[in-house]
Amino acid sequence: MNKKAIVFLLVFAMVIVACGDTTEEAAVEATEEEHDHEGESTLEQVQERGFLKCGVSTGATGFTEVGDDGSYSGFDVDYCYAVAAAIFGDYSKVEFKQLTSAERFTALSAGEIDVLIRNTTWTQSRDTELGNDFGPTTYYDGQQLMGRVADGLSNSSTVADIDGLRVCTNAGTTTEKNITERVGLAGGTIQLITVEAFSEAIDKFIAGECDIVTTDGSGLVGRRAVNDALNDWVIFPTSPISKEPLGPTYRSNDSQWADIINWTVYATIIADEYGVTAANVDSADLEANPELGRLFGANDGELQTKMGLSADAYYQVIKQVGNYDEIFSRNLNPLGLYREGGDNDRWADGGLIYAPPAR
Amino acid sequence: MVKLLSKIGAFFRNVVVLKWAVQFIFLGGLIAIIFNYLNIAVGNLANTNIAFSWGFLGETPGVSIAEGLYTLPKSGLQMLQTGMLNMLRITVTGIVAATFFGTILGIARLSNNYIVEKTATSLLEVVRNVPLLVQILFFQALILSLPRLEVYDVGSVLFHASSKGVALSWPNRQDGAWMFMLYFLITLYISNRVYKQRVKLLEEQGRETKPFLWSLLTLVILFAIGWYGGYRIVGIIGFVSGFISQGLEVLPGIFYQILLSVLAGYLSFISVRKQINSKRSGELQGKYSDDDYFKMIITIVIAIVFIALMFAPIGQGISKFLVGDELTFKSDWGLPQFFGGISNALDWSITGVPYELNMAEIEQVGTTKFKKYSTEVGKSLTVGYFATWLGVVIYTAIFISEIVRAGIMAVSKGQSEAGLSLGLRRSSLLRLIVLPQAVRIMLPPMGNQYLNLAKNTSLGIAVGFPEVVAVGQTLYNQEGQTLPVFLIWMIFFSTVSLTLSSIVNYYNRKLKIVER
Amino acid sequence: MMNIDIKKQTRVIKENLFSSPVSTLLTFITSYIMISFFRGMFGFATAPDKDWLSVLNNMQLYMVQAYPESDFIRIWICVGLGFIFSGLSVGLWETEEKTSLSKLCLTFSKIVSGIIFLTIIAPTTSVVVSTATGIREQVDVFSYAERIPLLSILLGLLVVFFLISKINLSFNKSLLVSIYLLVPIILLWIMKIPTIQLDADNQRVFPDPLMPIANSTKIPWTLIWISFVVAYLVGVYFKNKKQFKNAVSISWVLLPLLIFSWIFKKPLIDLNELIRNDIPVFIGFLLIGVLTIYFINNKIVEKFYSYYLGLLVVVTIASLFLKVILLVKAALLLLLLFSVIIPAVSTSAKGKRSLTIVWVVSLTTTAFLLEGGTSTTQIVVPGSSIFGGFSLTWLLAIFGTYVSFPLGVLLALGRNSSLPIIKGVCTGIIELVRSVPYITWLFFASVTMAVFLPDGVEFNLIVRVLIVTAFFSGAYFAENIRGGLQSIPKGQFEAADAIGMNTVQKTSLIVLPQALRAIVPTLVSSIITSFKDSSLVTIIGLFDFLTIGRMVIGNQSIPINFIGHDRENLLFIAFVYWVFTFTLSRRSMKFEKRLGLGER
Ligand SMILES: N[C@@H](CCC(=O)N[C@@H](CS)C(=O)NCC(=O)O)C(=O)O
Repeated sequence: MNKKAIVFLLVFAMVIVACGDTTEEAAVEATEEEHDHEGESTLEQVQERGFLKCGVSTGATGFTEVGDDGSYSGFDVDYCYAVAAAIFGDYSKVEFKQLTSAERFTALSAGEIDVLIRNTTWTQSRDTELGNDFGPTTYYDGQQLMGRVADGLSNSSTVADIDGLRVCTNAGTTTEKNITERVGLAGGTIQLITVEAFSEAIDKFIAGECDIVTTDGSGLVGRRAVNDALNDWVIFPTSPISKEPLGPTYRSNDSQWADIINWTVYATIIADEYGVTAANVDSADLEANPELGRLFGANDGELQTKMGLSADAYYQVIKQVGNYDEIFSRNLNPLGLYREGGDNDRWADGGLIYAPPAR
Repeated sequence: MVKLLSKIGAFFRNVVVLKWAVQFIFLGGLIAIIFNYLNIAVGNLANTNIAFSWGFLGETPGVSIAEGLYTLPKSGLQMLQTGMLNMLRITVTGIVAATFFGTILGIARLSNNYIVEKTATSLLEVVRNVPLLVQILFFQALILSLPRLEVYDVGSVLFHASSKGVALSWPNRQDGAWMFMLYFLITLYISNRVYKQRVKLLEEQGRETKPFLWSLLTLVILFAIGWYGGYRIVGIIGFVSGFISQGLEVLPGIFYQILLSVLAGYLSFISVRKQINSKRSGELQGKYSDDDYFKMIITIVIAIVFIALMFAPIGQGISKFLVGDELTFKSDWGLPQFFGGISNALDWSITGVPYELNMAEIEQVGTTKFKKYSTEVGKSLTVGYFATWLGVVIYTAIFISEIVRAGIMAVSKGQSEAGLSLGLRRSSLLRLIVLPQAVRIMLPPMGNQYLNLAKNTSLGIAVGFPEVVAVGQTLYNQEGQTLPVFLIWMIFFSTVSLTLSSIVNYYNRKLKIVER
Repeated sequence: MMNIDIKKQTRVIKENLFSSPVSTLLTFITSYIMISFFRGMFGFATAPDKDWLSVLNNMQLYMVQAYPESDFIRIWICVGLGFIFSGLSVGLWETEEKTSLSKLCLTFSKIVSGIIFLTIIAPTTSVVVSTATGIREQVDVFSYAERIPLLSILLGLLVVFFLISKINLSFNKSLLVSIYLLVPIILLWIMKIPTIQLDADNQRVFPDPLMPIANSTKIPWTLIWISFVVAYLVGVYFKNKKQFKNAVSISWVLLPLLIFSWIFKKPLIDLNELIRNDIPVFIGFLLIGVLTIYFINNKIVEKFYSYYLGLLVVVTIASLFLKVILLVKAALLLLLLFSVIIPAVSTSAKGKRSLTIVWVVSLTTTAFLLEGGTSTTQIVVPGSSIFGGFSLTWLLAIFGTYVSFPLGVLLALGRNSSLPIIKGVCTGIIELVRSVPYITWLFFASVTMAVFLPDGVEFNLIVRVLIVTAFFSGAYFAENIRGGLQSIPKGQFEAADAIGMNTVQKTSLIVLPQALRAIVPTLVSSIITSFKDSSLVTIIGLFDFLTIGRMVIGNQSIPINFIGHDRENLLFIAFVYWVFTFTLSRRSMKFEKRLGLGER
């Protein structure tokens, strides 16, 4: 047999080897992920894996923060913990993925995370076009602007006052569109500088490259607090320029997974309504409050098991993470964000935080 | 039966057959793999409700861009154009600046002056050992640590830097600038011809014809004439374009199809003829290998496929798949608009000087306490632009300086000594003898550096400079169309790279010819 | 005596700095720029609003992100291994030079004079900007009064050095290096660094108290450093042993694999499975390989060898699509590659012996890596991905190079091939990949690649990044290799034809070795490039070294508020990158020079 032919076959084989090589190498790395997930629901995948992958922010004061030992804390982080507590009975079984605004939805649809809890606004286009579904709102927010008092801004300033100014915000957010639209309606123009992370926008604002920064009100308040600028920076207009309901987001078409996330949030809200906290959950009177009894799986917990969770899943959530009020005040009160009298108050007190009945 | 089998066996053992069989199996496998992945992609996209579509190119994205052609783009296409133009701005000015600084640094590294040499070397060691991204971020931090613009007074300045960016005095383009630019190119060409003419005269008659002086004089005179209104001559081209544009508009679509098909057919004919001719001479005498047949066949097949795409419904099918139904390309390929644009830009009723030298200006924003650099007069550069520009220029300049140094050192020592013995000064020696020869060695690696520079501009995304990658990212965040945006990036960057490398190759070839 | 010296010095200075008016001007301008730059940086670094502890306090985060503290010993061992091998290599490739005390003193006095100069020109004030209001004010940082004690000490040192330099003493350089190396150990034990302390109300204590370095860092570092010195001495001792050098070189190639598997995996191995499946497979392949090597010259084997190869190709390709254990696939691939080389190399007894060794080693490593790689890890990282910080940066740099290398070789061979279609496809891939910026490919990995993966298959972002990196640097590699291929003189092929070599032999014996020799120097520089390029992953949000400094620390308000201190961190990051790339490129340059000297 002639030798040239062999060579050709070999070249062919080598190319195949090359393809095989990379996939092989990758497969070695990815074996944890490589199980055949076809047709598995998100819950099954998570349970098989043994931990939850939760998408959070790269750093939003009060919502997601990383300590010097790599530990996580914040409002959004606590909700990740709550979901893990519901699924595994152990809040610590979470792997956090920090995502910038621009990457979050692709990370979700690529299956890199199971749930996205990252100050994400529920909008129609995200719900329909991007293949996401949204859970109950955990924080009712609205977009605002922030400037310096020394520059002649005050909390009575409006969008019309920023005509011609340079405004900074972060890419891939609703805020880019909102501000462009609002300023356009007010008949002005702005120069909008978009950066990847909000902290960079703040840096540019501090240095004076940007005259104004804009994002969700909570983010501005948090930043102003940690930057020690309560009297120097002013947030305006007093009524936000947009509605920003923030809550968990997951891939569409998986209603079991949706139920689990939704009811984790609702459980924290219901517990708050009954005044049940992490400290007193063991002494809660489940007989007198049958709704709590059902939710905590004391009677039969059949609803939880139907969801694919253990009967005491939501008891674990409250026990290990706390109720809505605890999560809120632990993370956001230090920044000067309070529930009382705002949108995030209990519905009974005139707020919007409301959960459907557990029955 | 046995005979047949052995014949088949022999057929398959034939080198040529095996060779092509293997290649086609390879190609088939590759296509199958690609097709497989495309299929998966289509399925996956359908599952996530993000069907592949180019529709976003026509929709209003609803966000604004910090700087560039359209700061409030009306369509995705405009948004991308803005990003591309921003990228090209940095690339073109960056290449010029990097070549300039790189050459200076390269010479400085060969300097006898201890401090100059050491400074250049340490700059080299710092810059090339730190990631470019970190450097760009560093430059951004550097500009941001300047005082705020608000502390300065309103007024004209020669040069100004603050945390809002940098402003320079600048010759601002006026209406006639396009015409003048074209005029200037023609002037350059003419003076080049004059130079060559004089050199020829010198060679033929052997007398001193002062070619350099002559061409310089031509240039200066023509420039002066042009500056004060002479550039309007170019308006003729605009005038003619206007006619062409109108004429083209009348023609039916089929004309373009025929025109392009004929062009394709002609090109393939030429290349096949070239291949045939190349084998005709010498000892090769009409013998074609299988590779030659393959090349010819491929050329013809490409032409046929192209023509078929022009006319057949399959072409429409593809364009429908690619473009969706929201956006349709005109069958005239935009040629009438193109000529119309030329006739608008080169309008001979425009008067006045083409460029006006202006000082930069600090202005009040409305009635607020804020200030900004004027965008009308002078040149203002934003922080993102400046940081990216400085980053890529210095980074590339360092690599260019290495190339320049190596190039100069490669020019043999004897050449320099000969120059010195002729009584040339060191600076003239460098300019007249060493550099021209070094350029020949330097050009190919320089071309690579230019390509790197063009690609590195995409790091502007890290400092909020809206170049094409950053803009594309914003776009797919609004619409979810990641795949089309990625394809656009790929096409755009390949085009830029191809253009740049063809320019470099052109000069490379030209220099090589001079060498003989 | 002194006079002449000064005269000579002035002449040298004049020649070097003021030889012509232009030169004089240039001297002044560059000096001015350099001095201003130094003053600016000094002012920046010493300004009181800079909090350098934001760097120091986050060191753990920088290095390993959230690697579990209980498993830190693994990291220490790996760092130690790295240091031991560096020590060995430095020792092995060290030139034996003599140096004398007076030479040494000259160097030291130069350094001290430099410091004196810098101390004198350092600025007295620095600018502090209030973040809240943006108001800038000048503050005193380093008054002249503070400098006097420092200056007098330095001058004293200068005098001391001058006096010592009169002593006539010379010694080996390696001795000197070992003494130098002991200095860090002493420093580790006596140095005190400012440390953040929180008081009862969780408020930071100002000024930060000076504390000795914590034992958890001090002791491992001491041990590592001592082993470094010992390794260095061992290296110097074995300097002339060629085999030892080869062993160290090969270990460098294998070391990263070992280190990464050690850091990232703590395998949980199923013994039953091992005995039933893996070990028999391993032994079987081992035997096939060895038998082929020894019986290749047998007449009958030779006759059927090409059919055997064909069969192997088919089986290998088929195995890629079948559900067999990973080890079989990998071993088949390896066997195929080997079977191609065997007829060319296995002609002499010596060739056979070395081929057997290579075969056993490579099969064993592959088996081990697969075993470790595919088993589930027992390292749990609370709340975070295991990859992060500096370790991620290195993972990307080294594995990027590893994966891209074979791909680059294949692409280059393909581009050089005489088969038009294969050549065209390889050229197309190389050019397309190279014309698009790396960041765009990273975006492809982060947002677009998921679309192409079949339902249910998902790769970690890091793996996806490694895949695109393989292609990207593979294309660059291919171009380097092609350069190497083109430099092979045509005459060599003709000679090979004349002695009747076939194409396989030509490729494996003539082309590849030369091409590889041509790219070995580019290997290190390509790791350096990968190391620098890996910083781009911050843009797609991977938590590498840069991301931590740029995005995480500037956002920390717990337990200590470091909000807005990202400039210090940026400078620190730049410095670390610089130190690593600079030393690496310097070392590799030295190494190449030695290699070149040895071979030609
Ligand atoms: N709610 C908006 C904005 C979300 C957003 O980006 N918020 C900022 C500040 S509140 C943030 O999380 N920044 C952290 C980061 O950039 O990683 C959206 O969903 O688009």
